[in-house]
Amino acid sequence: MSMTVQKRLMRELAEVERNAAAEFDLGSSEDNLLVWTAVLRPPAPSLYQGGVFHVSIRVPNTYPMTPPAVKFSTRICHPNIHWKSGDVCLDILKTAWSPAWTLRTLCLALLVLLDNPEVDSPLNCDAGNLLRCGDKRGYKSLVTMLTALHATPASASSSPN
Amino acid sequence: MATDNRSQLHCAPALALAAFPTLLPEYSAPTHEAFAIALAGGSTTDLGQALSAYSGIVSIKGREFRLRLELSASTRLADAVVEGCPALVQLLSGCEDVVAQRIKQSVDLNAFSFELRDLLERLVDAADRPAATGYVLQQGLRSSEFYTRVIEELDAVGWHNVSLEDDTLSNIRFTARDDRQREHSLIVQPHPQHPAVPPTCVAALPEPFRILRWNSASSLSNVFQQFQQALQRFQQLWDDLDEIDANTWVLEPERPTRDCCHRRMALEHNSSVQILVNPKAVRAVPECRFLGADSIVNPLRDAMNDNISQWDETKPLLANLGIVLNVQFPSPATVSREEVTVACGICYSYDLGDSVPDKVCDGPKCRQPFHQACLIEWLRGLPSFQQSFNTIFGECPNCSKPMAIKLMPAR
Ligand SMILES: [Zn+2]
Ligand SMILES: [Zn+2]
Repeated sequence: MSMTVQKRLMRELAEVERNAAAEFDLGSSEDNLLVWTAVLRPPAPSLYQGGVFHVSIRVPNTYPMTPPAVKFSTRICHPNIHWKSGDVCLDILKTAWSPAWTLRTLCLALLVLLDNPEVDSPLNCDAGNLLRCGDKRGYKSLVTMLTALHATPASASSSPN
Repeated sequence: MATDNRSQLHCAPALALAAFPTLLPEYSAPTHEAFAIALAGGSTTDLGQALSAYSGIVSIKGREFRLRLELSASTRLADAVVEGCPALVQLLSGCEDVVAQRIKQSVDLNAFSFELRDLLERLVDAADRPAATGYVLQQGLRSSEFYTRVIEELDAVGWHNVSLEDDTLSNIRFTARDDRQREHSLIVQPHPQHPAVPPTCVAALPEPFRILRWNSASSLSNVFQQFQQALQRFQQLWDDLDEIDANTWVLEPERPTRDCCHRRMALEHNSSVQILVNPKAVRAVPECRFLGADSIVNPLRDAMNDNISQWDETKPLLANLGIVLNVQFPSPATVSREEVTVACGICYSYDLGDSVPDKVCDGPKCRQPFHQACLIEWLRGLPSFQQSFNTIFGECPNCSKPMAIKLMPAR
């Protein structure tokens, strides 16, 4: 791991510890600073409230020049998140990335994405189609049901591979 | 060295430890600890060949020094001229004779490399641990007359001014106080043939300390007196710099020593001004370099040009700078160091090797500083990357405002 990445991640870690948020936990793996995990807890009035979503974050050696790779490990029903793989379609994780983002602000962006789906670049076609057809009620009930099924502490956590 | 040796030395102008020109080609960092002389071609022993200049980097305990060795037309090593980077010149100051002597004694460039490395290791060691008994530059057996004589001379200097750095009298520290009670040290290394050969002296002064008019009747108390006189010359310089150190945030050097004539002082909005004071003309307008966002430093440059006639050489440097730049320097009494040393927006650190975040976004709401290296690395990766001559165009990673970055040679 290059000195730059290491130094920057150490500082990000310190920053995260200073500014703990109720909506998410974030931390690096004990033995590998390049492997991080976020636990998102979308607050009310989010459609996903009550759900607990684990997100794996892999930081490349070229960070912060290139963005981290982000995957939901908890199943989630969302137009921009792949149901099986957990891949996320979010511009800042691709072309709109800038070193001004941090892993912490990235978590905030993920929380915003949950309730502001981008229907024109869907990774989950079913959810996307419901929204595109204007079936908000259908979409809401699908999300609420699947969140209760897969992402609540009571549910046996079934995760994508 | 006896006097006849010294005259020979003049015939062979062996050393001009001039500050190294910045034209030096870039070398990749040496990968091994050993002394590396990167050659312009050929091997180090090919002294008889057409090669006339050798340059390279010597790495001693993690510090790197640049070095260039130029042979004269004779291609004899003894006639070579050695140049070094400012850090190397400073490290070797006072030891020029020793380097000259070693270059004369060396059979080839390899042997000299080895000698030089050995010398530098001792000097770095001594610089790192000033109180340690480290380095005996002139090896040799000392006679009992040597000890008797040196002790007598130290009696005359007064033991309250003397501390011994080792038990062989090879490193003696003289401590003198100047008019303002600032303490200064001089390390004196009597030659084994003392007093036939003058001692070697090392002091942190803005100009090298040299013993004048040494002859076989001279003694260490002459050296001490000359040192006290030398201190007199720099009183105004140290007064003015002390005032700057106490009343502004000096970002570089972090811990200024008494030989250091430059200061980089923090200004508002992540900008700073670096001054280089001429120890021979302390109160003249110093060389100034401004670092920071154009929108902040351009007005400072303009102010300096407009107000330069108000520079008053009877006033201290800080007062003059305040008037001419029309600024209030942020003071350690009211502003924290964190507020004046904002980390780079990309790597999140302040120090990156030798550089600090001196490229600052012009956006009035942003003013985010970046290291030049970090910013360029980021901008180069973008499809919008554009360069024209020495200017790189791109957008601030923080606020997306267009930025133009003039490339400056790494300091
Ligand atoms: Zn940086
Ligand atoms: Zn900006």
